[in-house]
Amino acid sequence: MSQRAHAYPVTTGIGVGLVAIGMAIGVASIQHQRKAGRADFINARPLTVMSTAPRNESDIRDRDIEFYTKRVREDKRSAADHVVLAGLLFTRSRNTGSTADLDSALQLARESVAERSQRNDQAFSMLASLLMARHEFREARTVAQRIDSLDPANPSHLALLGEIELELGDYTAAARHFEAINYDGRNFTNGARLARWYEVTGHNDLARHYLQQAIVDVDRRDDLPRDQAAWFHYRLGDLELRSGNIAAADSQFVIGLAKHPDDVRVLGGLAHAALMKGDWQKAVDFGERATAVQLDPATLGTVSLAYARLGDTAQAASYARAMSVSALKQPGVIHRAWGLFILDHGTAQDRADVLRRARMELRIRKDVYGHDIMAWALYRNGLLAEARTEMKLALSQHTQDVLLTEHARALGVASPAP
Amino acid sequence: MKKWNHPRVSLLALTAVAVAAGSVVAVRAVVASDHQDTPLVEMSPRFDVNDVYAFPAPGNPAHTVLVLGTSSPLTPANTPSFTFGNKDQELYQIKVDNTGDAREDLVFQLTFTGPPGKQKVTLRGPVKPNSVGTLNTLVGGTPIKGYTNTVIESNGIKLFAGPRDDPFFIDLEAFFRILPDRRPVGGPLANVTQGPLTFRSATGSDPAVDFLRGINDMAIVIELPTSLLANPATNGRFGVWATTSRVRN
Repeated sequence: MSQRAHAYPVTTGIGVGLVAIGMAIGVASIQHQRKAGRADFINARPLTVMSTAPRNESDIRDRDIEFYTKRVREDKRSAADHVVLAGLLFTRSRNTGSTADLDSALQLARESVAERSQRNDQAFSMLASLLMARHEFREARTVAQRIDSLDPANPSHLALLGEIELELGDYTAAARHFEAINYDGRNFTNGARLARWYEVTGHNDLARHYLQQAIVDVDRRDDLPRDQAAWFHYRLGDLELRSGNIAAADSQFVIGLAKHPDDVRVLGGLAHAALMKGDWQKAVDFGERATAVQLDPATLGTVSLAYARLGDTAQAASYARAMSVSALKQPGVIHRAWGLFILDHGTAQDRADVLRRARMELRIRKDVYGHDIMAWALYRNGLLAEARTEMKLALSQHTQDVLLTEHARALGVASPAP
Repeated sequence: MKKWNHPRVSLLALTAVAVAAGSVVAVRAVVASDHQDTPLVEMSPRFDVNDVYAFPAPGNPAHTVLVLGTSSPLTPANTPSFTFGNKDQELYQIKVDNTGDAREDLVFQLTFTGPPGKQKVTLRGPVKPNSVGTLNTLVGGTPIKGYTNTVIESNGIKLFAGPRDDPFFIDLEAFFRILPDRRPVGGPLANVTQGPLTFRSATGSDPAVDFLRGINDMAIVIELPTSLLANPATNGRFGVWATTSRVRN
């Protein structure tokens, strides 16, 4: 008769509002004689601290940031509070593009790890993720290796390491780590990382499966911020866009927007999908909604292209300038979407600058998209033979992406045999 | 009839209250705390049984207060929108063993409906449960009904359900320093002074830190005559624990 559920899923929680107390306190026993005066003491204690009703999730997040900022100020030794605040600031930086929040989050995560290295997985993972967001992939890898050494074979640690290695283009190491994961099908964070691995290595069906499974798991949670629920639909929509399935992508973005209205990533995805469909006005509308909140270079580029198609060259130029300004403020040597935009729409001097940046980045990041932008930069700078060599490297993992396919076709490079 | 099974099967730490027989009421209040201890309750915080308290009612020695706290940690910003559940899919139970066999003889069952701020609570019990253990059904009888965040009184029973300051106290980082695998490697807490463990005061020059300060939980508080719980055959002794369950369709 018993319906006890023994197979609890292992979750790492990309949620940022959780304090992982992770402990069971034993029974504490206090014996006291009840006294008449005790009632006054109990009644005098403030029973609860409750805000007025927040307006939306952004408001909750901002109030939580204030709350945890005060706690960190009060207790500088609290590794747990440091990492929670880091997570909240990281979330805000992703939604607003604030580099100040990103820097603060990085500092807090470093302090948390410095305070307590053992059993502080959340802080290590946060630190690695923040370093990735800053494009400091080598240090991110070092952090991920450290957490893996403290708790070897933990699937979450392996997935994190694998994800960083994907960014670095170390596919041998990434394969070793991803293939060592005994995936229980329930941890959506690991599911999303595995999906990325399968996507990069040309198994889009598997990637789609993992993301769909992750969405089911995310929908089961009732404590996750809606932007996180929306992110998984954004991710699946992005996979569909890269696979050339525009209608499927559109449908995922629409679901994502329903879950988190005004989500800048989802709006950016909708703008991109509209552009690919040739619906220029829709691309402008969605893109302008997104860029009103965050000046994401890729979305600014999308709006610029859409205005150009509508014949509004002034607006197209204006958004292109905004894209460059924003892209040059992003972490890393080059913002790839900007680089590709400039290679197709910039001046000869711009194209030479992109080639220079692409070469610099390729010294550290040798992933397929690094080789792709390098190939395209070489091609647009008239270096066809070298471009073809780079394009072959971009196709080496059999990645099924319409962008790579288009570039390969333009360069006359055939996809390698599977 | 709905059947409920426990995602949070039982409290790890049993909380018990012992009421001595006779006219002298010496009460031993026992508390247990347990936050975010399984992945499943991390996924659904409202099923996370944090604390169970049982103690004599302040100002009324013939009454007992039972408290079930869940869902901590709730920040102040998250509290107004949090609910006990809004689809009548959650069952909160406080169980009482008054025969000494560690099986529930009486049960309080609470269910909730409605959106945040306008939730309705229904209390059934204390009555004999339809079944003991982890698979339960709603008991009969006349329930007590009302709104959350208000004190509801009926037939000598008082009920409150709503957010409250999480009453548990722990200096988490100081607690970690005594665990070999969690001790800080840097900072002042890394320097563990050997010697007997002592409690630091919450005030003074180096006070203990209330890690749960400003954090709320969702509390269910029931005050009722102790005579409705105690069994003279076991000298008035009874045990209390609480469970949370999800409906099994």
